[in-house]
Amino acid sequence: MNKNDIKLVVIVLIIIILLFSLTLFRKKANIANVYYENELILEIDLSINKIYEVDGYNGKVKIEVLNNQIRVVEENSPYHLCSKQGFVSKSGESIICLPNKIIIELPSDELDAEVS
Amino acid sequence: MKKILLILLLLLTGCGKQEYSKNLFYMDTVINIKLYNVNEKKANEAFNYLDSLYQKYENLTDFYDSNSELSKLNNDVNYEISSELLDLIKIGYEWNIKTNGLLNVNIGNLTKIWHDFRENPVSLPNLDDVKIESLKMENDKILNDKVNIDLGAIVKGYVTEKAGNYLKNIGIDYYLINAGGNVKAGKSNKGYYNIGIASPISNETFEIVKAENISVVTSGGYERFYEYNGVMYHHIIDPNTLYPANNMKSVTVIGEDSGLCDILSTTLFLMDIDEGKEFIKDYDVKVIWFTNDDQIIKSDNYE
Repeated sequence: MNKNDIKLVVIVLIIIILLFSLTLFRKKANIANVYYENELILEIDLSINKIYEVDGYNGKVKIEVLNNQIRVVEENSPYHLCSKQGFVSKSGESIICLPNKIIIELPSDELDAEVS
Repeated sequence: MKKILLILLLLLTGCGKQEYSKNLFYMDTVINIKLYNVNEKKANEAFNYLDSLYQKYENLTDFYDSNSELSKLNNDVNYEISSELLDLIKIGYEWNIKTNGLLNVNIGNLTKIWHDFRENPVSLPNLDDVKIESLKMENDKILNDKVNIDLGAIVKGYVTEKAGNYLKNIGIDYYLINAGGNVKAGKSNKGYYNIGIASPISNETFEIVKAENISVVTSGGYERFYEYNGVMYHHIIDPNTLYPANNMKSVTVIGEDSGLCDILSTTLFLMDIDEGKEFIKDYDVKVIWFTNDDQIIKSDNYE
């Protein structure tokens, strides 16, 4: 193993560690992702209490963030299942407004999928 | 030396590998598909195929769409159906026999009454005139004079199994499909997936299944309960009592075949827990029950 080889190994190692730590830090964020069908339309910081409005299939969908929790407060749908669901706050949880094609996901490091 | 570099570079590319995710909206649910270790072109090709696959089976089996093939058969038992729909109905027929009539796909008349009640829960439905008949078949022919088939207990798992097989056949081994509480997982880059099972009472995860090449299906769960006069009603109807089953709060089946897990989860939801424990001894699956008094019971082979 000559000097150049060692240098190369060190450089590659540094790049790997950098990339790895980047993904680690990104995942720690306390956020909710809002999708319309497959399009990410909003990233919400759960540490800020605020009301958001997004466009769903049947019109406006009103989303509320309160004390690190998130819920849907108003939407136009036959059974209002997603507003009845109430607050969610744990990573891995989601709210799905099927008629409005709106999906609110709290990303999880731990869970890859959930059945319920 | 070259080897070390090669390994390091492999690690590096592993970090940069893309994940492709797509949501499909069929069968009254969101179907999320994640593909790993593929290029964009192949991922899109797979998404397009799977979109048309789920759509095709929705068009075949949608009980509440009068244009579906199934509705046409329910209107006229002599209607000529496709081999795809026939295959599903045959599975329903076989399971009706295996479960002594407990898993009965021919109770669409009854599931519709409860469906209408859920849409408009004014008063409990009158079930006096409801007659239950099992499917009768011989040589791929339906012998009943009239049928009322609802394939809701079967079709999602069945198509999801097909979806997984398709991905494998085109060389995509690393994937995760979540069809609304019906998870099918292929291989995983980290060697396993963490699949959470949500509690039917709190919405939190009470168990995590760590595995790859696995299917996990839950029946019950808080999502499809509905309340009337303080009583919880479920969408899974017991053909013996004509009422929503009330043996447990949820049951989860873990096994290889998504179609089998889907059928078994509905079947077990209709059985009391001891009966279910006996029944699954014939199948290579693991089961978790969430009882009415909020206890968690696992099958003997569960570790």
